[in-house]
Amino acid sequence: MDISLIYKIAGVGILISILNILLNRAGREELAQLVNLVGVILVLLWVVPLISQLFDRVQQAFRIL
Amino acid sequence: MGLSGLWAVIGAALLTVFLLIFLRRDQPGLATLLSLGFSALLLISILPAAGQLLHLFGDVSAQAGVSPSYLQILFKAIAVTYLTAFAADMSRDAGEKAIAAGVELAGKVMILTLAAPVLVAITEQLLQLLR
Repeated sequence: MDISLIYKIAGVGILISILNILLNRAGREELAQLVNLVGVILVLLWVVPLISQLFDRVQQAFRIL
Repeated sequence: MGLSGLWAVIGAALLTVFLLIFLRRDQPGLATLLSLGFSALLLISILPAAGQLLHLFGDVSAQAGVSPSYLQILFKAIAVTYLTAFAADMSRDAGEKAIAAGVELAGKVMILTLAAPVLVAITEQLLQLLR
């Protein structure tokens, strides 16, 4: 079980939280929103292949065509 | 998967829970994605062992003379249950109970559809016995 992805997602989450606070303090709410969106999309790009891999593995394990 | 695998799962799960406590408050979207990623990783790491177990089960059933087509239906039903439970739990974690209920309903309908040939076969056998 390779948990480096967990670290990566948590790291992105904490980084974005900090950026969010900084940008909000600097009065750049629209930029903070954009950073949030970029973070979610980045993590989504990592997680989606994992889900597709999960479906492939389930099909292999249960031998469903 | 031996006992060391179990320790790895427990450690990773506790670590993820700990990280989720931080993320859930500030970034609910990322927290949901993190729990989704962890669940997917966990299931992927478990599935080879589960596949071997199912293989063993299939061998034993073949020796007992159970028809492989019926066994295949059973395996498919188990797979559908796993996947729908996974999706429904993820939706429920994210607070979308309606979507979770919808996914579960879809899974139930799918399993009934899979089991329809078995039901028909049982009914036919019963009718033959009655005649």
